[in-house]
Amino acid sequence: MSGSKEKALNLLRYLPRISLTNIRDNPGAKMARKRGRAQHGGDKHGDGNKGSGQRQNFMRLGYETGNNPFYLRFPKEPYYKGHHLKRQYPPLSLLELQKLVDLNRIDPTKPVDLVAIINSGMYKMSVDQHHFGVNLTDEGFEIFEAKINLEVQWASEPVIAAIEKAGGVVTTAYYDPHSLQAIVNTKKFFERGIPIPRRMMPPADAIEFYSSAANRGYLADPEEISKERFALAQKYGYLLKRIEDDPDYEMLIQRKDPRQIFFGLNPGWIVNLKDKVILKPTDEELLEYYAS
Amino acid sequence: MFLKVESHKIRNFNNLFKQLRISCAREHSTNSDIPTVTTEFAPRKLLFESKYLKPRQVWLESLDTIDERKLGILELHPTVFGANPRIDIIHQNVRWQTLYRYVSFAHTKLRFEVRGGGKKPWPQKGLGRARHGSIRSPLFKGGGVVHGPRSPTPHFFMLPFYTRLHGLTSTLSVKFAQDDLHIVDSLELPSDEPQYITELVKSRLWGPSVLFVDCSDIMPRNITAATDSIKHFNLMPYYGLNVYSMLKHDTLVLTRAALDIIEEKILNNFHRHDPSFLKKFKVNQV
Amino acid sequence: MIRNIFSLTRSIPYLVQSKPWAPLNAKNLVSVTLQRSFSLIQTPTVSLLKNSIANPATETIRTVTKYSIKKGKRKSVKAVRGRFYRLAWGGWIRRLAGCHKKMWKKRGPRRRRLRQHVLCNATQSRLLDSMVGSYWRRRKYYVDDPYEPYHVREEFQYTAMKPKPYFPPEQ
Repeated sequence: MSGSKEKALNLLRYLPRISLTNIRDNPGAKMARKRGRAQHGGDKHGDGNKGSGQRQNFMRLGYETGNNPFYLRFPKEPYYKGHHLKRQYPPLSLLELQKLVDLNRIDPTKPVDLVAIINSGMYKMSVDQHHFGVNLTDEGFEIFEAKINLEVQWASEPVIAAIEKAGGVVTTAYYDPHSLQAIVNTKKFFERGIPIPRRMMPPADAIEFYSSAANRGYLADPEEISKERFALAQKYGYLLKRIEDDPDYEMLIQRKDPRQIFFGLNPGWIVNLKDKVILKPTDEELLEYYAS
Repeated sequence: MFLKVESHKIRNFNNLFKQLRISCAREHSTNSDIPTVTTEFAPRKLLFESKYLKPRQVWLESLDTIDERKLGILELHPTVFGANPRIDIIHQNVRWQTLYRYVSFAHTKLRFEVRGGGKKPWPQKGLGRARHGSIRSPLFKGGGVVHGPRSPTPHFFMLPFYTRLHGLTSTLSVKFAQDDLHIVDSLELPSDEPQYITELVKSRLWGPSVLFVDCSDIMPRNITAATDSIKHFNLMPYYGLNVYSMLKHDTLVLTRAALDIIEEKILNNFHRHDPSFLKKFKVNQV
Repeated sequence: MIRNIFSLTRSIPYLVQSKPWAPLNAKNLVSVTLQRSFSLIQTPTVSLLKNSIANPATETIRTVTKYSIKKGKRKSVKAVRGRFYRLAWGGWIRRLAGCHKKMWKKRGPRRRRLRQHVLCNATQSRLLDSMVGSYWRRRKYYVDDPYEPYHVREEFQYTAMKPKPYFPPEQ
């Protein structure tokens, strides 16, 4: 690789000076446009003779000249029933997360939430495609060893076990689409000049998931969660150390309020990036609303 | 020429380096004293140092005297000045630079634009002649052109960001490899005579045309006055550096401050991790 | 027209911190019940006669709209959406014809065969791809999706997504 570079640069020392008159593209870079003329490509220009093809009056897609077409022969099946209501969670594997931590794209000394994962630049999601956050998958379950305070949107049992085995902590939290829009493009959201909204509660079909300690839901009872941590350690066969004895206890215990979107920013505040100022509401009614 | 180093003028290396930087922001002094330069100079600190690529070395020269005077050796980053000399990328950059601003004013008339041709020239049947509807159809001599040029046709396009970036590094590497790159401490000349600069360039065997690049767009008075009448010596701020100009001029002379800024900007762009700047170029959203 | 409105209140208890922005602690939690009211509106019965007359609004449309009137977008053919399912690698699956019909005369093995979902061939898949919009051709990331293992084909080199592990030659 570097050998050819050095050779090329050394060659240049004995070749004429490179100027505007002796440069060219690589051979084969430009293909000459072929006009359709005469026998090859010409005459009827690929349309055939008469008929709907040459007269550009085609039959509709899937039509089979009157007989029952392929796409109508089979019975209906509710494959896509409720597709517009289902939430999607683009996956992020434990392997990928480990890579991000190792390559300094995610700082494990601070709590890692959806904001941090998106800011690393290696995870993409779009709110208008019904994406609701990170689904942590168990690929890389064996090699995961980063100790982090992680907040994702969906995690299965082996994934939770992998993270807790490494000494970390995992929470599953729900973000509604408005909050997600603020997270995915934070700069654009702040430029809108509207107050940071309150995070909405999960919908009816999700509230059970986020209230259960087995899923480390953010609405679950912390005592139940510690019981589940112990049970999971027994199930997967690893030693669970006391979190209070951990030197990073202060960092690992940090959690967001269920109504909070960003760490360090409360709902109701307006962040002014231009003047580098945060505006907070003073009216009692507003304060009551944002604190509820 | 031997410079007497006055003890009260010996400064800390860092201060000297800072002085060189700050001088670009301020207006240059009008007096034409030869600047006192210490025999020692501050070595360059390279950003994003590579473990595997060796830095290139270049002489730091001065424009104080007509004869060459080497002040020391500077290190150049291998990614910028030792890059693969991609001739095809250089060609693409040059083509882009010439073509993106080009508007073609060639124009041909369509059949309905050519004067006349509204009436059916002869009846459909009976004459034994071919059937026609208008004398200005493309079949006729003097008729309209079907797929001809339509004025004005812009040829604007944006070359991909990294192609442009590699164009700059390839050209700088080519200039360095062919001994056409010179680093100068500053563009301060002792005299504002065009004679001085022509003799300087001739004696040092720098190419007939020279491009001087500085860190700011306000250049020292002397060099501005000297090169004003000479069309093949051109002054350019660092942000104007482009492949076409570098190839058009035989020799490239960078000031040390300009070198720092150019290297910093190129390396920062190589090491960006957010692709938000790679969005499609929209003219109305610059 | 009769309208019956039934209201049901469902209370969902959950735990919320009394002091927001403080570290999550058992002491800070307060039980709050979320009141939700649901209302049911019974729609009036419509006479069946109305539907027998061909209504332009309910006629089936089989053409693919390449540029819609209002937004200039491509539209899907609903018939395809209702009968076929697209897998992420470009394959389409469908039910077999007659899988719900005359089951009383079909024995076990035949019923089992009819219960299978079957892949369409490449030409058919290509046709179906062109009959639906880009939304249907995009990868969906549902959790607990029954079709999840079928969206990836790692065994074929052409459709494999993950890099194969490299084992240096033993010497």
